[in-house]
Amino acid sequence: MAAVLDDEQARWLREIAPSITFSSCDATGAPSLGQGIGVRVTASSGVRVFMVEARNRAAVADLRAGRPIAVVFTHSPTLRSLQLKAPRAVEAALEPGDREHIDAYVNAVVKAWVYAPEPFVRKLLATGPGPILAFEIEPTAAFDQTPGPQAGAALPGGAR
Amino acid sequence: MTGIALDEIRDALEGAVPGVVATTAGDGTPNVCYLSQVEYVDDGHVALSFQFFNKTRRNILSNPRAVVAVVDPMSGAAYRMFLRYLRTETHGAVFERMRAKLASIATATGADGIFMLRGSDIYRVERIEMLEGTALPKPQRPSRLTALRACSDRLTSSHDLGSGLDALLLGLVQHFAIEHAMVLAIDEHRERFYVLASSGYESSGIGSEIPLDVGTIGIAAARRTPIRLAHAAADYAYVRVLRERAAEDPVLRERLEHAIPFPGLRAPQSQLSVPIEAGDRVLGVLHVESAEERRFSHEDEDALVVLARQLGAFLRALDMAADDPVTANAPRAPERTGQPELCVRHFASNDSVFFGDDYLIKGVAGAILWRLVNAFVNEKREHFSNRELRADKTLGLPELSDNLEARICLLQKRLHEHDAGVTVEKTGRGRFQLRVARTLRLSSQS
Repeated sequence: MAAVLDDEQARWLREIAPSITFSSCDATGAPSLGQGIGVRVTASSGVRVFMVEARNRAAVADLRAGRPIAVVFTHSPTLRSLQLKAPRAVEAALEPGDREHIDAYVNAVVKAWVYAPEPFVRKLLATGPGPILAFEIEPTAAFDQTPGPQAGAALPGGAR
Repeated sequence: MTGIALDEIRDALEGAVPGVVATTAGDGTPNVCYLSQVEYVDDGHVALSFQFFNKTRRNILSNPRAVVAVVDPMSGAAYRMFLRYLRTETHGAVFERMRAKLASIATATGADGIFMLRGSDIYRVERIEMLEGTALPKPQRPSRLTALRACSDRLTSSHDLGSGLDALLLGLVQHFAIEHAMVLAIDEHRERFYVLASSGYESSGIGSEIPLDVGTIGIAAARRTPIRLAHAAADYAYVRVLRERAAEDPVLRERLEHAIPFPGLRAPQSQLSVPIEAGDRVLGVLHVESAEERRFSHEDEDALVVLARQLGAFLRALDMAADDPVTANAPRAPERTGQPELCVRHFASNDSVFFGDDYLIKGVAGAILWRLVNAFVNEKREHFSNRELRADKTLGLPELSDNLEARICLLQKRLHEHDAGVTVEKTGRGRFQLRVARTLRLSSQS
């Protein structure tokens, strides 16, 4: 079955340093919101999203409880946005190179956000306090989330 | 949870950093979407823009809980607001404020014609949390409360409308660094605004007119709500341009004052229009603008709302005050020697008055001036009262809400600008003097 994340999208995610916002919900349907500090495309065309646990406690708790996830990646200069959804996200240990990848991600965002002062961006994308977590997502649906009337349109691909 | 109040994070609602909203579908699938606007409604509510029938819309109708992330553009502090959807408004003050702002966002992002506000989704704010470690120290801003008090003091110590308006506009320059401002009064009877005072423009434009439905000024008055735009907005084009367009229309041109150039920046990036209210009436609009983007903050808006209300109360008090008893006549103005007589021409069809060939004023203010100069020439009178003007049915003053003080102020300022040796000076509450330094010759045409 075709992967939801196609080659172009995978390449796009590798090349840019997108803003990353994810959401889950608890058993009562209350949404939680979290912020990512880096993304890697996995060998199986899934994504591994990094986050600071202390800054995303509610969302992390929901993901650990096996709740669904939606994650939006945005290329700030163009606002092109991609939303991936999956029925669950699996927590994974940080791998060699992940930490360096996160640092490179933050540096790239600092460079990309030309209108924001560097200390502002570094505070917003702080890699602390406390541990950094990784969650892996095998998306089952993808949507164009670029702001505008087409936002939310399903993108081609299929359920795995 | 840190117990943060909504009032503490208003800078984060200004939209400099796009917000996101997370919602959940009935089956538990989450969704994240960007927001065009998060509008402060009051200390417990915000409104989110409803533009498209999208997933967020469907989700909140089935599950009213939402989380919104916003960032303070000055400190970098990131907040999450936990909200509950209450209702959608499709008209009224909040809707109009958001519609105008959306138009400005659309223009700024090159999306004119795409962004349309279908409704304002009103949410209760249940709690707010700040992301740990995000806030940098904020740059100090001058206190708007101190500036407000200084402006208010100036206005309160004024004894007549003309000096009150001058004090207010000077106060805006000195205490708020607002360089371009105008006060417009509403002529309800003739369905237009006329400029009563202005500051910062090449020509004052006092006496010039615009239709009631123009730009942010029109909406602010009609909806009785401040309209503040952080960017240029094609749909709410600059008043000056709209007025020039109206002047090209032969019908509108005939109806509107067109001899006096309208003040106003040609391409303002920021605009703030605040209604001047008194009781249940809107008397006019205080309009400020700037060539800078994001020039006016929510604190400027709050301060100008208070000042505009104070101005409204001041205006009403002037209109309602009993006339002072007649005081000893001030000396007649010394005649200017060597100046030719001044021919004052009146056209009854629209009560326009010319000094020689120079247009001065028309409408009610024109009719008042014509009455005054007639009394001066034929009855040798210089002193007049508001009461006698109100009793004169030929002037066309509306029975109620005549804004007589505003009309006399307009006349006073036009005469002062014209500097032809004819002035109107206030001599007390409801009393004024026509001072004439030249021989007048009157000529009336139908």
